[in-house]
Amino acid sequence: MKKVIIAIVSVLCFVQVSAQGRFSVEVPGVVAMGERFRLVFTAIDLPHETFTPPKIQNFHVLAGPTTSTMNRMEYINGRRTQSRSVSYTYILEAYEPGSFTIGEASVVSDNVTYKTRPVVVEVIQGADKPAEERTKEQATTTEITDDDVFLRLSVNKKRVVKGEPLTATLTLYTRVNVAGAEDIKFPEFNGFWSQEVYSPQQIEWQRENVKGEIYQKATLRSYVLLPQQTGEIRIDPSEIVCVIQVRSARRGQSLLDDFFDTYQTVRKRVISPSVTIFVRDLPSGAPPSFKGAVGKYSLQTYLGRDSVRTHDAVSMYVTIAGEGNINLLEAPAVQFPLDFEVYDPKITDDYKSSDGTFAGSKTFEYPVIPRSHGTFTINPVVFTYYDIHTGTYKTLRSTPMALEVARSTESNMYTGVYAPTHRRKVESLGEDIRYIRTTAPVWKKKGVYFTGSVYYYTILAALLSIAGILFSWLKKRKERKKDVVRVRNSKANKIARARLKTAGAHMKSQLFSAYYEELNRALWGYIADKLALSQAESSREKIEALLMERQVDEELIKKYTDLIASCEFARYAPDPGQTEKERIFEDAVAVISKMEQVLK
Amino acid sequence: MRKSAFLFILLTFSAFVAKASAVDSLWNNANALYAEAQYERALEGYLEIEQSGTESFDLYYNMGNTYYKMQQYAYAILYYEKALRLDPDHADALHNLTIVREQCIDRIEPIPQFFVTQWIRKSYKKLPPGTWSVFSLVLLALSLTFVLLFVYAGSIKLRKASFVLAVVVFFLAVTSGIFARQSKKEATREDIAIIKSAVSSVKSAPGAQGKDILVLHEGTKVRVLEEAGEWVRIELEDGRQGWLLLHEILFVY
Repeated sequence: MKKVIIAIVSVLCFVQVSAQGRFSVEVPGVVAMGERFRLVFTAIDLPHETFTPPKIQNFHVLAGPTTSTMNRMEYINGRRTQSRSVSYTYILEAYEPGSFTIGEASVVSDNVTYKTRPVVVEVIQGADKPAEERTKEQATTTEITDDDVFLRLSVNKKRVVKGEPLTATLTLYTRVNVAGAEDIKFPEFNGFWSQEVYSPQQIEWQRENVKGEIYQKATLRSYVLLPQQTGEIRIDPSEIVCVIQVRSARRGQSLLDDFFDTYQTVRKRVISPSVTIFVRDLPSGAPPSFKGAVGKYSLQTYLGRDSVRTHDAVSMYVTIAGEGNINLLEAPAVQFPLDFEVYDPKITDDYKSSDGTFAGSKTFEYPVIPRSHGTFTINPVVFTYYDIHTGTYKTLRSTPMALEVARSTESNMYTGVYAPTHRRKVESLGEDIRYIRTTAPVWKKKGVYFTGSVYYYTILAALLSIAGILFSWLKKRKERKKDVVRVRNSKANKIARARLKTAGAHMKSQLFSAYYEELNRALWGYIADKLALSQAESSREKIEALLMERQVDEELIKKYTDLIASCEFARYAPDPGQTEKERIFEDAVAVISKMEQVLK
Repeated sequence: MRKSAFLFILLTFSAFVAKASAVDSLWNNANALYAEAQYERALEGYLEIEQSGTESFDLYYNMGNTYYKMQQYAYAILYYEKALRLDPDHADALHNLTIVREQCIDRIEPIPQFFVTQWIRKSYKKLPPGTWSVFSLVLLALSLTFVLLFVYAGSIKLRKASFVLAVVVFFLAVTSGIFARQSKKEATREDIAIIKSAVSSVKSAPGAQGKDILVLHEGTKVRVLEEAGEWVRIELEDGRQGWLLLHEILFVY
């Protein structure tokens, strides 16, 4: 239902639009003096019109206005279009040279006034006959001169900077009847980037005053050129072979001749003069972001979305609008955060050629995929162009843009299955030297080494001498000790004997306690001397251990220690009697002499 | 008399301290300039320290970095080599040296050495000569202690162990001593040079009659075999020889 309404509305709109009429004027721009020409006002699709004629001065009105009406009906794809046009025609004659204005005419239709613009008609004195007649007359001679037909390549600027657009127009001028063209060689524009902006299917002839003569002019091609080199660049001539119809001259001057003209075709090669363009180089001091853009531009950047999830694609758009060599603009470098996957930009063009340059915009779409989450800032896009008007480089800078990247929910989709983690190898982005050392070092004198220095050898000598001194000291000490031991060893028996003798004397004189004391001393003293023990060191366990070490018979050791024990015990016990005392005495003598044999 | 001697010692010491602090302030300034990427001015500071007759691994390392940043690769290599002479196994210096070598054109395959020689070279390059010397002295002291223990220890077990240890430690002490000697020898070599000029042609003989036999580029390490006037005979690491102009090379010492 809705669709139907829209369709109806659009049809109505269409009808409304087609009902919008036009009112126009048509007149040759240049006429010769005495020539008769037509001035036509046409009202298209203006119903119930009332025509107000223009003010015509400086021209003779020979006829008019004559009204003619034309109705047209067309079916295109089942759609009917209807149009009605009314034309008002005057036939005028110019009678004096100069430039004259034909004033505005107007038409009132349904209370709306449509007006034409005033038009200027130039009247030339030089040609005293109408152009068509002159053409005929000249055509009687088969000689076609270079003035009759020529080709021109005109440029709107001859001095440009590199990259500045300019327009080249190839125009054919003729005052003879050109029926066609062959073997057309269009210019090649070496050293330029060129684009055809006008190439008509059908040639449209216009009148033009060339040095006081009326020529038919046709624009064959129009190009926008962007110089890519510097210096003098020559545009090579282009060529056309024109097919010109010439009335063949007859000998017999018959009245009928005029009616039965025989035409012959003549081919004439016309060559355009070459044109030289002076291309200056761009001034030095271009910033590094300059990539050859020349003209006047503005920069706009925006993100497709402000917030995305990781692994979702998002686009950043950079639009450069303005005029200049917009078609050759390169994609400006955008610094995305390092964890973004960046793809090649997609380029959308929206520009047209106008006034010899390109105007419009070019949009670069950078698709990126953020691979990790967080808030990222996209650095400003820097775009530099050369401003032709001011002759300086201008740098445009966009504002930095923030992009919020949320954690991807994708892994939640894989519940129960192994969730793929996005682990990656850490890749090196580049290599550089490691940073300098900043802590204050230990300075040393140049060329001075500890190795092999006096200090080294001094320490070495000191070490060796300390070791030597220690060695000799220890040796002496050992020797001294050895002496003591030897003396004690050799004297042990003697002392023991002396003590035993005293003990014996005590026994005889009934000095009971002194006897045991002396006996005990004899036993202790002997073994301590033999084993080189000091009094403090000597204990029964120590003696046992040392004797064991010297591989003394265990029984003997036991006997000896038992004897010592019984002596000590007896000192504090009541008198055991003479025989017991004698037995101990004899035992002591026997054990000591036995020990003497073992220990030596 | 004693007083004047004391005064003399005090004066020399204070002079030494003053000099050290001057060098340290130069060092800090140069480092700050480096951080601000003012490499030319940083280098001036470092050169001043070097010309004052003091040196250290860190100084040469920083100078190497500075020259690298100034894209004077021959000098960068020269100073890294100098740094490595003071600390032959420093990871940072070795890393940076490989990076600078990437910038150099000449790639020379050294003649492979006998593996034992290689091991020994690698071993003594692990430490600077001074450290080896200290090691050898400490080990010698230890070994002597063990000898004393061996000779005078009471128990037989201790004596046995001391004997073995004394022999092993003495062997280590001698090895360290030899390594120190070798390392110092390597560090004070005067025949190693770096090619300074961007391109230099090596001739078969000194003087004009020599034929061009090699073309060497900036940063290549050569060994100088002999000098004759303004010409030097050099040998590459792969054994090839030729004559070069003296001013085209920089000696590493």
